[in-house]
Amino acid sequence: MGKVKNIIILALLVLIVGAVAFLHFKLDIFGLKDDSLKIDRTALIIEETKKISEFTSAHFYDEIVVKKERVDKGTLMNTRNEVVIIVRGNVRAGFNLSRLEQCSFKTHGDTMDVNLPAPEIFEIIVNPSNYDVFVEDGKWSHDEITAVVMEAKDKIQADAIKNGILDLASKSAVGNLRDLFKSFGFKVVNISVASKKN
Amino acid sequence: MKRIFLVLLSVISLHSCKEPVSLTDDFSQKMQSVSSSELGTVECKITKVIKADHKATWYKFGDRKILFECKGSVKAGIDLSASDSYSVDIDEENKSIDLVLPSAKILSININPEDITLAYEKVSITRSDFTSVERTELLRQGELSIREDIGKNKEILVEAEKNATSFFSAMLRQMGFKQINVKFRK
Repeated sequence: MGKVKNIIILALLVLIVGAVAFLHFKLDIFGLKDDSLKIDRTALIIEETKKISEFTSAHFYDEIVVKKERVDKGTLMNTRNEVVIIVRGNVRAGFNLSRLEQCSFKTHGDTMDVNLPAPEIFEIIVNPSNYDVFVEDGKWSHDEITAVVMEAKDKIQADAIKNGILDLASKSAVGNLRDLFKSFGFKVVNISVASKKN
Repeated sequence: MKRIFLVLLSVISLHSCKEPVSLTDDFSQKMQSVSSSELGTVECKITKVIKADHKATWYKFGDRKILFECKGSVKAGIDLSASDSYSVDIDEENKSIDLVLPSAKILSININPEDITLAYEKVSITRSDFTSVERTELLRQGELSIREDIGKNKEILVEAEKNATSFFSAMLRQMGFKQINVKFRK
């Protein structure tokens, strides 16, 4: 009699475990499966559209690891909190061709003279997908993290200039534009670049 | 026992009061320069609200809400980087030119970290605050959503091709061509 009772209890236990497993894995009745943070769907608004003529002739990619420490004062002892952020940036540089004036192009026979304005940095792109918060000890506010990322962004711009992005932009643009203008039928293309501003 | 517990509790609560007294930093890096040949012809200023509502579950009481306001810019134009990206056919006698360019594409999406503002954050007392890792993850999802929306918006590319046509037409006219046809590969 005791043996039968044990078998019934065991069968009931198996049934209960099976039912719980079914409810969890198949129906996610406990809401455990997807507790990840997800954004709500919102509309993208295009506020303004404008015509530009930016000839991007050089990109500079940089990856920087920034570590910040903050000492938070306590009553008995201070705590050292740190944040380590990996920041990747893309610097785009080239020529603003909307600055070209009518006198910038001169043609005589099969020769063409072009005067380009000074090369410039158009933008330094550090989007949210370009940085990772690798270590975060203590609480770091949104503004504090933004300040660290902005500091890294300034460093990326400085690195780009130091590594000659404007020279590369000039060389690359002169070569590419010469090929383009030669394809328009000019045999000799002379391109001069104004002195750098940055 | 109760007194020790209260003393410990007050020490912990006082200790958590934040007062930054020093900042240090350290950098390490790797970099690469690449030449390109992209003509950006249109720039759009965009805005998007990025919000998340981390609701309560049966094992987590209370909810967490966060809302960011995000501004950015999108540039589109013609990528002339590939050697065979464009083709030119010239008729010297009639001073006419046919220029075939690659179709327009999105060249850059720029969401400046300074232009992302935390507009609202509310966390129930029973839940933990949003960490920087969580906030960055939400912003990433927002960026992905912006990329998807921009990818669906064909008007930007139409505008980019229209502006590229007017740019090349003006330039070629200045070079002495009378009849100019600018087309795009589809």
